[in-house]
Amino acid sequence: MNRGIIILIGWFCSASLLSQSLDDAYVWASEIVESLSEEGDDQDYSYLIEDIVQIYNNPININQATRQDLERIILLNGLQIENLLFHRYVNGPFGSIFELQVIEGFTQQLLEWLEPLVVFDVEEIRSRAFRPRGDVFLRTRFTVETPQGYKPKGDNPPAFKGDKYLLYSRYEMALTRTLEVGFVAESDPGEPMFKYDVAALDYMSGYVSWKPNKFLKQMIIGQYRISGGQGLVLQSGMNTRKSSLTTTIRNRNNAYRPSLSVNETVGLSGLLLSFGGNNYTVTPFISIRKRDGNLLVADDGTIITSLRTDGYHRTQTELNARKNTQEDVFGVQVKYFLKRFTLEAGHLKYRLEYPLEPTLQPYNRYYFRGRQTHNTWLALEGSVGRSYVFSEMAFNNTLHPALWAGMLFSPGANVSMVASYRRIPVDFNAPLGAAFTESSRGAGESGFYSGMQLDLPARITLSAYVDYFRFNWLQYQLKSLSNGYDVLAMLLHKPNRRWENTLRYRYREKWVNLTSDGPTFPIGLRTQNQLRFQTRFAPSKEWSFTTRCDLHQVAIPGKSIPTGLYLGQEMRYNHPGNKWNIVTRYGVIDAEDYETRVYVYEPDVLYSFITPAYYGQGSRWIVMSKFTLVKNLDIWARYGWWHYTNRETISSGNTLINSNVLREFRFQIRKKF
Amino acid sequence: MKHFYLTFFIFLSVNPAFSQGVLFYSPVDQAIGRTGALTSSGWSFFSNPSGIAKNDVASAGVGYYSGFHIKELSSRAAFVNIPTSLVNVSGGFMHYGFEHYGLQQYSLATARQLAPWMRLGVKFNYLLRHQTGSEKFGLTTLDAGVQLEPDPKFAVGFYVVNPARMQWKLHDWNEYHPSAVSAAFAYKPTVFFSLELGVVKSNEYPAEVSFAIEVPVHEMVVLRGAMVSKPLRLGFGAGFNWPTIGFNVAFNHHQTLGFSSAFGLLFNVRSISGRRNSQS
Repeated sequence: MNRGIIILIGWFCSASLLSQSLDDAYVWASEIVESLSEEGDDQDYSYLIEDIVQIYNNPININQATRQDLERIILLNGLQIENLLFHRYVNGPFGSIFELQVIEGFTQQLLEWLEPLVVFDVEEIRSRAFRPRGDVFLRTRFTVETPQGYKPKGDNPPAFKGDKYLLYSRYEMALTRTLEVGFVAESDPGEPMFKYDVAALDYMSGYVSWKPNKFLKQMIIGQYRISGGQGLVLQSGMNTRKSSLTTTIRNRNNAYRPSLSVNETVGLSGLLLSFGGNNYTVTPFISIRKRDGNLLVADDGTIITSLRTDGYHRTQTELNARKNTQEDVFGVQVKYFLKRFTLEAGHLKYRLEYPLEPTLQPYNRYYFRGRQTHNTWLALEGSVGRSYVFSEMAFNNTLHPALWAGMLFSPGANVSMVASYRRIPVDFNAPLGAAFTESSRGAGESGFYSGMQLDLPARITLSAYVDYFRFNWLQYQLKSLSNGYDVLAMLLHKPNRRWENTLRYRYREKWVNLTSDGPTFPIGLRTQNQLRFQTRFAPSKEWSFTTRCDLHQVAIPGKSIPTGLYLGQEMRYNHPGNKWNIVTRYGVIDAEDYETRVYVYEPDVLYSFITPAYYGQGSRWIVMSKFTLVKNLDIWARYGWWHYTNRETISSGNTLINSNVLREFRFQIRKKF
Repeated sequence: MKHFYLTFFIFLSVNPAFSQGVLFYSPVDQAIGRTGALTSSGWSFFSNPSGIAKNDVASAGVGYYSGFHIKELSSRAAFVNIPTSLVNVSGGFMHYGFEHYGLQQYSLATARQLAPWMRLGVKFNYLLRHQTGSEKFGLTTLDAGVQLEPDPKFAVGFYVVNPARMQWKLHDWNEYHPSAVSAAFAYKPTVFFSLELGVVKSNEYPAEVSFAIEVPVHEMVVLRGAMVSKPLRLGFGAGFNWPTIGFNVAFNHHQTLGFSSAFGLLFNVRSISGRRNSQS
């Protein structure tokens, strides 16, 4: 999924051939991130853009690419990859993009999308001279208005021990063709530096990656991400989600890769080795890292009541929990490539320094408890005729396996369909798992998903999915077994390469607790209707205009919720010489209730994605510019302005701001080598 | 010039002005319920100044709007539009209110067609507020708009009023001047026939969604109709156009408060042979 952005090139932007700069790619990437963000969590999406940058800077040589190389292009489904490899095997190298037209499933539109991502060199790229390359980033962010947490309360010092500036630095360098190093450091607003037991910046991490691609294929020391099967057991990157990319539900994450994510709760840190031959790989990995835990020290030992996931270390309480427990992971992943199939098996052991014992509640009765757990998984994917199957079976201290199986098939040239089934036992625990499920945890869920993409006449594409899910145990804030539907339909109209219109409708229903004065626990059906219309016009390489309107309606029995609305206009200008660009957006939001919030992607500095939930009443203005001062030196500046009309304060607690206006600045510098 | 306009647009979108911020509802759009974000005649001075960029003849107009046919809720306006080789410039005056309370607005708008598919416009306003027993107060605001034509048959318009949320600094308190945003999407199967879907959102009020239709029934007569949500209102209007003068009239019906109406005269100071704007 992490390479899902590339599909945007086709799905969301018809102007790919007009303008193929990184900045444009960034805009396309925003769409998918926005779609994914509607699930409402705080995933780190920065690596999404990293992948697209990599492919833009180093297009894939179609004549040398292996199946794994082609897997990086999410535009290509499993069947298309098989067909391409077979055609190349029979007829030899391709000379140009046009020669791909003869391959089954390669439409004209697909070729347009592929063009910036592939090259057709016959010679081996490795034979060219290597030049060390890399970049370094410095970023800061702060708000003009000062939250209460930075101010003394009477005689007491401020609650936040640090200042209100975010500091971020990242360095990544390919020293040789096989050796890469990376380093990242970050201090969130309010986090102290060089004091309160924080040795330097609050978060520092890095990696050294050696990739000889011989028997030893790769070694990573430091921070990395790893993914297995369909993510039931192992998914340390972003899990696949329901999105506008309705037929993209297969786990497309890299099996493993180094990482510079600053999300302190995902990813692994330690040693990863990968070795093998042409048709198999064996990847043992170890991760030992400190985690933040809410500890309870008792006479009979220390227990963890919960693992913290917010990554903040601003107050004394947060600092006390900083890196106060250890998490160990040991595992191995084996892959075997058998003609058109990939077989995978793996096992991992997850261990905590202290037992995890969350306060017992009916809904969390089957949550992971104790110090350690084991997971084993088996996975299979490959093509059969005109279908591509992908599946995983996983075990966890129980004989009842978790199952996830899907199939992609193309009944015709203009249509692709996908169907999947999942069934995860209530007592299945995989602390590092994140499969394609409705709930964030997945355990106790079964469901059936069906999606399609259909090319209609008049340059209209219909994308749709239906997902039926059932929870076989209580959920957080739901004292009943339940089920629900999630339906999405999107029409994309692209009359020409410069202009596209999107009409998207989403319906969701699920059961929720209702308030009650008595001793009963009534539940009711919560229904949600979301409608979005967006028109984007990019008349030239320089200009782009996007107008968007969202309506969000939520109905809960016994509760009156006004419909949420967002209306905004964005203008973007790129200097013809790519020396500078500027983007501005103005929008109004009217979503009194948080239930009807609207997720809106905001333009941001490179490698930073933000899709905040807009709610309340007010207006939002953003202006951002990027300048290339001298060759390989870029500067970003961004100003954001919130003006609420229905409140006198913003946020609460230590982040409370006694104003209805919030202004924020961001600056970033990048030096490329 | 592009850079100048871009910079200008950016600046204006931080600076300030609609609904209730709109003192006068023009007879070709807002008075029947249309957003006006896509109006491209001299009347666009009131509903989206970027539209005045499309005028290549000097013109002047006067109009009167009667809210629910209550004298105290009526307003009147006058404007002139002068096209130049550089930009089109419009100036105008609006007055709303009665003996004991009134608002005057003096506006200067400028717009330019940067490309056949794009028009940008900004409007500077100075408002003067008077109330019996109180001194007068002044306020400067800025509005901005854009109109795009991705295809000869389609158009998109966006207009924002007082985006900077300027405030009236009164005796003992500050009061926000209304801010609003309007957007419209139009489909024009023929040059004069158009279907328009629009939405207006004022910061203080629920969003209004409108659907409008404009049909030429004669080379000199244009009929207009619109439906607006919350509450459902129906509007209709007509335009009668001669080479040098155009007369427009509009009616809007509210199920509780009754009818509102507007009319306007537009004088084309120098007509161009063969050219007639359907919305004038």
